[in-house]
Amino acid sequence: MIPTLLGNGSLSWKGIRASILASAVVASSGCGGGGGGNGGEQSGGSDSANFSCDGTCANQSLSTADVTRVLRQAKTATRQLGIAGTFVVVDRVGNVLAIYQMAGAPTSTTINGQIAAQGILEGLAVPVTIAAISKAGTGAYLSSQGNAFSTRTASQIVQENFLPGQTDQPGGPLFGVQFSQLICGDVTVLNPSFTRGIPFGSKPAAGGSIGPRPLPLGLSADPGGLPLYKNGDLVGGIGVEFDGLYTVDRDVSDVDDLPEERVALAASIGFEAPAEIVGDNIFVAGRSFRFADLGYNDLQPLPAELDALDDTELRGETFYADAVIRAGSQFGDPSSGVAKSARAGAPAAILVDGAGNSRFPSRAGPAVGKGAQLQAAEVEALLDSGLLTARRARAGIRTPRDTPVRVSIWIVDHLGNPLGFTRSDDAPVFGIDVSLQKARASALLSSADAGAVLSQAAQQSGAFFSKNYAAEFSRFTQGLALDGSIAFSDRSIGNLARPFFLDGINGTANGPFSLPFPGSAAGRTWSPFNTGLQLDIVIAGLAQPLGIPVNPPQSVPDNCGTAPAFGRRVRNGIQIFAGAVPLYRGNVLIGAIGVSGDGIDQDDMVAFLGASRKGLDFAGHPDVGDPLLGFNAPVAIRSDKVPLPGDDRSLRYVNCPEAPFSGSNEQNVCEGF
Amino acid sequence: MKQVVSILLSGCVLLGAGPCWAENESLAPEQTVTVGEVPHEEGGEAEPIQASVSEESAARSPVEVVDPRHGQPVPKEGFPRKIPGQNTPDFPGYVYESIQKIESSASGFVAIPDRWRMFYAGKWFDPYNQNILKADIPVFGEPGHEWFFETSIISDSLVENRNLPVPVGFASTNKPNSNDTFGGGRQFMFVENLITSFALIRGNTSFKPPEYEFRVVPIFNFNHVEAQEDGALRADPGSGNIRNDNFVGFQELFADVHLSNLSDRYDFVSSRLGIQQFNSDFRGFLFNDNQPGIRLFGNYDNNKLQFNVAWFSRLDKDTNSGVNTMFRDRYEDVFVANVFQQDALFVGHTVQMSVVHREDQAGDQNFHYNENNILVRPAAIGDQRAKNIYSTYFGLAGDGHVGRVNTTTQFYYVTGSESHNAIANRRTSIQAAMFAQEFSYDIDWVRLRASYFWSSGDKDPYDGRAQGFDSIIDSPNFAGGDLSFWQRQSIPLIGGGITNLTNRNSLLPNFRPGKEEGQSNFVNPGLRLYNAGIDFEILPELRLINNVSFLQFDQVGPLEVVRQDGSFGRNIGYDLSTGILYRPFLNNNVQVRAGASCLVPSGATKNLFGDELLYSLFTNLILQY
Repeated sequence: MIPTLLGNGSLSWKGIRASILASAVVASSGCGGGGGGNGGEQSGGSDSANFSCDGTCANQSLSTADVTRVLRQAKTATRQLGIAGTFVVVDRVGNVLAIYQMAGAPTSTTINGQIAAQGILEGLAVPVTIAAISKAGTGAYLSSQGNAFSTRTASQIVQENFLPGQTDQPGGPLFGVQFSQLICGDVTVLNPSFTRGIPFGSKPAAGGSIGPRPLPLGLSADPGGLPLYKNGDLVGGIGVEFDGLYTVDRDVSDVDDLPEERVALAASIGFEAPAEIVGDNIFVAGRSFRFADLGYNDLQPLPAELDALDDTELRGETFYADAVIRAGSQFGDPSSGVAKSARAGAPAAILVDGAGNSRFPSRAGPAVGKGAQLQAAEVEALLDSGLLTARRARAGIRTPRDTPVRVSIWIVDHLGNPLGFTRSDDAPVFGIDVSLQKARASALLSSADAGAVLSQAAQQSGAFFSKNYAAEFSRFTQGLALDGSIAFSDRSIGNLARPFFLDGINGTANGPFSLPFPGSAAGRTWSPFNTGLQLDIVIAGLAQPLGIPVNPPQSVPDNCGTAPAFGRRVRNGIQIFAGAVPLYRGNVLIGAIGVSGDGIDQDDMVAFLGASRKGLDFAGHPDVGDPLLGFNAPVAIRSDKVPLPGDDRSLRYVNCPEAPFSGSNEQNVCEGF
Repeated sequence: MKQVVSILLSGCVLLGAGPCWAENESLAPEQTVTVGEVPHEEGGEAEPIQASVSEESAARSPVEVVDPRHGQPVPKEGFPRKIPGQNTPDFPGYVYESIQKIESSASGFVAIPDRWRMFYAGKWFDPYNQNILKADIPVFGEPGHEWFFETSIISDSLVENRNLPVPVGFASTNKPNSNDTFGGGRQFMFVENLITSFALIRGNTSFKPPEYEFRVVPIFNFNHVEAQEDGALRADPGSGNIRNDNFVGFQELFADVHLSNLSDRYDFVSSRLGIQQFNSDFRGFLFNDNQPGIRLFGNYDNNKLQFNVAWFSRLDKDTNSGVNTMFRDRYEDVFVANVFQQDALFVGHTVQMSVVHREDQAGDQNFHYNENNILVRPAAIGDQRAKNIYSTYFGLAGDGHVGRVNTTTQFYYVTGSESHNAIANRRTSIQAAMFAQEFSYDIDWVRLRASYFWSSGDKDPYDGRAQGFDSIIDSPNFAGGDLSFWQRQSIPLIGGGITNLTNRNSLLPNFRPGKEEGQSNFVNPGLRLYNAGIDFEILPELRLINNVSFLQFDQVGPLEVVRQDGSFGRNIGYDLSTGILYRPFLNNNVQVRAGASCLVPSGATKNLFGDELLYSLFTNLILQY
């Protein structure tokens, strides 16, 4: 339960729908906003979803006037509550456009997963400003033209059960996604204008609006962060923090009246998410998401004259912003760092630097064994295959229904070095970083030296590592080693990285890559802020820029996997949910493909089929890869062959979705590949 | 009478449960009257003697039977019966057995004081002749107020093989190389139900309404299911793919009290309190279940008009047996008022009008998980917020024949509200309907049938109007009934929530996670069913029942929403079924039912589950005493 101002009212969604409808009448886009006739009918609501624009229409960005309006609305709504708060507005690629802290607002907030867990982040007090940046960034990063998610949505999908509060239900589908977009990674781009002289090594950096920018606490699951839409186009996010608690919503069966969410909604007036695409209208495996527990009609009306901003209340934050109001980037324009491109005849996007050059052009992997390495042409073929597999597939988390899957796709070598990147147009931004984390997780754990690396890292990391996860894996599997004999998909890694094994079966012991659920053991315990192996790898790199242990920080790590044993194999961390498979030539690990941005089953399918003979053939690359398997792992060594405790039980390798292709009733499309 | 008592005692031992009525104070061994071979007394009176056991004497031991005319004890002599060709029966007796026999010499007919002496009294295990365990002979009571005891034991054994859509376990699987959503769907099931029934009935059964009836029906269930996939049978995939479960519950547990007679022809008003079987219409489309309640019922106008007024407060069911729990509340009340009019519209055609109101307030309770640890209230679909349902059904039905054409008709309109529908994500106003019509025509030993069923679907799941028809707890006998695949099998809504598309013994695609424990859902696609059937009475003992149905969803909107898929067509497919009913002895003591059915998938089913043939094969052996 989240502390609430007014208790648990029985609030309805009528409010938000009505309000959105009203705002939709005003909204009209220069590039055909209102293309969603079908969507409008389905939801009985707004016509405002701009399905045709893909976020790249002219003028669809936040101006300083827009940012000012959002901040004034936030300030007014907060004052109406008789309190003071901190607000952050970001654009779609995470540029912090303003940090506004009302006089008297709390300046710190405490991380608390509310399950009495023991962990390095649990109980840590952090500046309100960085919490608000993560919340605003989450609203922007999780959303797209086809889906509007909030930090409340994030809260739903990162806990030990989905939905949180229910028992014997598998964990959240995006379990672990909170530890992404980290400042220490090699995907997020630091703005050197805000580093205040603190060195950042080879960390990617660019001025202007080149994104995606890091989020200081990763993605946030603390309600009070929403996306901002302008004429139906996603243009950014708003984050509100003032209640002193940076947490998750543990009970989604109730209807919270959370002041932070109240203010975030008020701040977003005029920039509301279209009704058709809010999480409530998007079903994954039959379950819909929660956008907000309040509707616009539940808000106290704002006065005609909004509170004026006081320049002295604008704040800067090292690495993120100066104390000014900036305009947001135009997403899709090279100046946003995510530039439109095309691949295999399909619209796509790439990451570009300040000069407009691709940051991750396709290249060959290093030599592994005799000519086993991935060639640049093969990387290209894999990217084509993934992108086209996504394009023919039916999106799992987008409206209108039957639009293509939109994802980010990375190919890495066996050491986790990026070999190539592409993304579908309008894929949510969070997936850019997450898909690389997924690929790296698969590559690392499938490696011959994975066990040795994890053991060394545990030694090198001292208190940052909760335990030797390689030894834990051997104990768990009664003698197996992480020695390259197992080809780990990220889904399998996720199966082992839950506080319960089997996933979601409350009361069972934790998986070997996770930690005990609080109350079941002494010492460090699991929480959404203490996920086990995943967090331990990056915790030093995450904490150091926050001024831990030295404040102000002496430098920004340019590698989240700070333990020397990792090298650069987990430079932006790892991810512990489905959407990556390792790549092989014969029995030799040559890399991994990671996919993120749609439903996890869709991500799985794009990775697995993308790497398969089926996908490569479909993409017009019949001569690339193994004649039978493409680049997929030999069937016999895939992680679903790992004998597990309990009889007759296997991990899942991938789970391709039901009826995945638009315009086709084909089922079980991944069978036999 | 010692014989009787020993039978009863042995019955207690035999059955091992239930009240042991031999200990009943009015039937203690020492109180009973000796029966036996009593010589026929010649030259009696010209009219039967009305005799009774005085309360005073009944309290003494042994009981004396007093002739009320002169107050003298009746000689302890049994009533001799003589049936041509048979030996004098060994008649288990009770107090009446001592009544003197009066023979009418004028007519040559033998006058018998009561009808249960007219036939041969069989052994206790012989249900075909007069049997004290079958309410053929009173066990105690006064003349005109006899108490009868009835017991029955039914063994219902089911063996079933089926192929259903089943998902691969989410967190683990017993089958490596499962890369997709759909796994092995073959399942085997064995279910044994032992249904015991004990009743005490006061009244002259059959000829007039009983004055009192007390009935206890404990059911002992064992069920065994084997599936191919882990997680198909319980939420925890670690629990494997075999499930054994058992349960004991009461299917009936009621007292029936006759309130009054309304006419000389025994039009009556009666009341029944407790767990009782009740079907709110002819074919079980709305509320057909055994639930605790209070029911007033009776008839009027020479039984041409019949009525029920009832309130049921539902018990939750045990998940895997379907048996009533002892005694967990389902938090759902059902109020029924209906009236039947015979010979309405046509001679031989009965019309029923009904109003059924339901208040499901389970939404005010904690989350409820079923025995397999699957969340069922609220259903794991949509936003999974709890809900209460208030709905009122208005029904009009007909059943009977018009000339040689047999017909049954059912129409329901339902209105009300769901406090929150998890798919619509809002409060909904219910506006839905269903219609069913069957015609059949008999040609000698062949019956031709045609039927149509429609339950309205919800066109726009989000619009606040819930237009998908749902029942309270239906168990219809229509269009092949449980011989058909669609009606017999529960089909999981894979990828659309941890719930079912349809449930066992139901036609409705209502997304309920179990018909009994789950709550109604009025945002559903609805159904259109077109059926043709032909039945053959091959032998007097053997009937062959054949059906073909074409099924369509009425609206696909709800499916498109929960599956996040905009490509659904309406067509579900063809349901082909054949079944036999074999009664080797032309009675219900031994029945064999067997059926084979399949669903040949059309577009919507292919999109939902693929193009694999879904089938069901079962054999059902029913032994009844």
